[in-house]
Amino acid sequence: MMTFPTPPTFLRSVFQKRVPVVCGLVLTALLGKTEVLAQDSLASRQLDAVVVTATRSERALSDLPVPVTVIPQQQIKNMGSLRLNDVLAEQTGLAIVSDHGTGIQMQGFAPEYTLILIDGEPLIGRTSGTLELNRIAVGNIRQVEIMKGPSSSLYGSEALAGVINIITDRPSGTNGTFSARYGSNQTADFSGSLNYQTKKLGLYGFANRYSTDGYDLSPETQGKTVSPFINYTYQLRAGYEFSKRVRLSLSGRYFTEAQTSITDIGTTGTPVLLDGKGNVKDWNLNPVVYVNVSDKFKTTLRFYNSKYSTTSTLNYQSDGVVYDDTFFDQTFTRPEVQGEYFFNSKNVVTLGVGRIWESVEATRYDAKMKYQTDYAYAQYEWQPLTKLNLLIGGRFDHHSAYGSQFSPKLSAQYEVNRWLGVRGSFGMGFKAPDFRQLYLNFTNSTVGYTVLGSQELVAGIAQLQAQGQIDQMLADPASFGEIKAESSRAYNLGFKLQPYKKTSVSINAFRNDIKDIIDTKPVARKINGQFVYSYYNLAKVYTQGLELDAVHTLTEAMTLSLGYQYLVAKDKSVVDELKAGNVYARDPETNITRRVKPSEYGGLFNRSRHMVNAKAFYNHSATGWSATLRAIYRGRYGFADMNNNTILDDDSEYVKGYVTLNISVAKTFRKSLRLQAGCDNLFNYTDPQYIPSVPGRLLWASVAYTFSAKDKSTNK
Amino acid sequence: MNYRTKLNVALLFFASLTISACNDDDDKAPVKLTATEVKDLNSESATKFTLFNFKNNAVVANTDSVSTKWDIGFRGTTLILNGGISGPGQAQGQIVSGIFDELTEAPESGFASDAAAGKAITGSNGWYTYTGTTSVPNHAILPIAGKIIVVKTADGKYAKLEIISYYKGNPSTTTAEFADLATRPLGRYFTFRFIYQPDGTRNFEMTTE
Repeated sequence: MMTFPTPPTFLRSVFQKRVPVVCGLVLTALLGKTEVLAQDSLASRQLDAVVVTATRSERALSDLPVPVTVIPQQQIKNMGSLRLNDVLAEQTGLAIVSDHGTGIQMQGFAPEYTLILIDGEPLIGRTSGTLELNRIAVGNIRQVEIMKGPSSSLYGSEALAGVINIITDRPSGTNGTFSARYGSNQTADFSGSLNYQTKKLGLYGFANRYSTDGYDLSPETQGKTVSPFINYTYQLRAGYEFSKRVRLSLSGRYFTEAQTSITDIGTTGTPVLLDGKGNVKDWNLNPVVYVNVSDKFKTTLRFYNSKYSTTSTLNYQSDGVVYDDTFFDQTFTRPEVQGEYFFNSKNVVTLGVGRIWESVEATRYDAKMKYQTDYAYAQYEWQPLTKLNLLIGGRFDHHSAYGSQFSPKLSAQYEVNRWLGVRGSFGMGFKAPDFRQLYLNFTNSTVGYTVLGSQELVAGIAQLQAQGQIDQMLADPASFGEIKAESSRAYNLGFKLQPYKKTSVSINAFRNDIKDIIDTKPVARKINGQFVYSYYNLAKVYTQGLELDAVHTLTEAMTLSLGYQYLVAKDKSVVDELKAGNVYARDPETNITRRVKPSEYGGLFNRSRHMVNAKAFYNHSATGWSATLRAIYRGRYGFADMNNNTILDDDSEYVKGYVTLNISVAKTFRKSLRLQAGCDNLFNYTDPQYIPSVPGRLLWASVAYTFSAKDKSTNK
Repeated sequence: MNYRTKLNVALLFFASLTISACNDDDDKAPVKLTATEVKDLNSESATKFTLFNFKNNAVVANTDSVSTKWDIGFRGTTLILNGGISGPGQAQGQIVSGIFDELTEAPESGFASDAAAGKAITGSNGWYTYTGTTSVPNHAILPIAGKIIVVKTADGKYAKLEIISYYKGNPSTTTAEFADLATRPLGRYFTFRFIYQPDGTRNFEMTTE
């Protein structure tokens, strides 16, 4: 048991102590399996990891009818990743996209459609829908779980493309770690953690300081591509076992970031410089009580409270006069009760109810805006045949501002034989209109356009009219109507293959049909020539594709993996217009109009048809050496319309595909001192015009030290 | 002025066509209509419209604004037609989606005059889009592909017109040179092509005049 690769504490505590009592067959079977495979290679270990994202309770990955990717701590360490975006950038089917921050694109969905959780609770604080992944340090992460396909049946809004659940470390043994890393762009990272554990009490503390000088891909202009910033992350976690049946877990996280920038708002030759200061803070508190009412009935009481706030000021460099000063405060509070009933080894039912209070107060809103969601969910895990697993679930959400949603999901897995498993799922997902889509009342101070949320539209237009700011109405505000949630239907069908003992392959085909996508269009023209925009439901979009993951264990120490995603994402109305011959383009040289053929349509912008990753992991525990080599290819993707027909159809509208190659080497001495060095983006690929988010080559080196009271907790 | 010499050449060509057509006047054999291209029509004035007459393919002096000598006027992105609130004529217009060469006949209905509530030919998101700050090229006026302006002229004839460029010299708008505001050619210079049907029918292919 001591040699188990991922921290086994929770497994021990949940399964060993209680499970044999709680419910016999299924879970002891799970435990048996994990123990057997714990000795095996990285690949099979991963296959039998324990995940919580799929059912909201700990389950063995191999028994789940839905595909979940698990990235264990060891792999994150070997890669030398510091922030969550570093980790996700290298996973199959995920693309890092930059839109008001660094976000993730999953199954062709924009970042706002992926729910990001920390220990099962949602992270808040999105800018134009993007949750900045750089906010999340990975030094305290035990594993990252990625579940693709809609999961609104468990998680409600936002879980349309999928869910990324960050599982943080828990108290395990009595020990501590300290690590320091320095690299290109004066990027410095310091992390420390402390663990203390007695029979009943467990404490875990983590602190991280990350700072960078940023980088500048276009030195001829004022300001940097990424401005310098410093951030701190603190996490505390306490666990206490009151009795065999009652356990408490309390965790809190605090994050703060400060950034300074220089912006030029002048014209060429006559710069007008602004000094910018930005601050981001977010914190959350999450007490959870686990009560095992009986051997068959387990309950979990969760409470989660989170706040996210930013401030940003811009001052003229010349005289310090304020140019712009904004703030944004968001809160999220959620109590939830969950009950899990084990009828027998083949029937498990989970029920949950909860309420969410959310509020936003910001420069761009008239007043403090609030809304509330009540929800209930149910889930049935059923094993009607030895080889057949079913997962049936549904969730009902009632929202105070726009109505209610029901999201069902059905998944099944059939083990055809020892080397072949088939699994499929159907699910519905939704994304509620967010605060800005409902309540925004914003006028851009430099350009002068106005954006009104759907609830503000009628009053906002009336106000602008009264002020004499409207030149001409372009649409009837009433025609925008009540805004609805965006919703999707998703189909997934996949195979798990193990043709050879040391090779495993998983293939998954997916199709998502999304309707009522919220878009903006102009309502009126203002006297300054700019427009008033508002939100409305319009577009129907589909994304479909194929994903493949193959892992081969070459030797005990060497693992090779290959990942590939093929993706098509298109706007259905554009497809129809193209078929009808109603889409035109201008020849970029002569500017003469021609008709666009359906085959020329490249689909939605910013989606790569092909994405590939190939990785080699070497991990030799006897000598303490480990190394990684990872190549990530992102195929060409649409950037912006250049021939003025709003769609992606011309070669000039694509960003070229590119490869980044990352390497790292580490040596561990006496299982406690670890030296590591690496290089990200070895070929120094940059594209300042189209991909400012990719810095050049980054070199780094780090040192980490682990000490422990009793030599039992450190891995390996 | 560059465009004037070009206009004159075009005018000569057009005149010779008309003359040759007149020679065969007796049997009125239909003649194929061809498009005329006008290059770099200057609409730089912020106050006065540059007025244009389709029949003569010529700019009309602004002093004649209160006459029916002109059909369409240009001032920056604003297009006016000689009718309604814009002039004493009967001109009306509409924007039709399609390919210029494929539009063989003017629509029977759907024409509007310039009014206080809006011009017959809508500017932004009518015949052009303004790229703003978010897309490349920034702050550019780009004519929307597949938009044909159909005009019922001041004297009740039909013309169709496609705006090709808003920038001097009809530059490619996909180059880095165009994207850079410092090197972008001057705006408010229209390049467009048109077909004017002198015989009063809605046909844009053949004429009997």
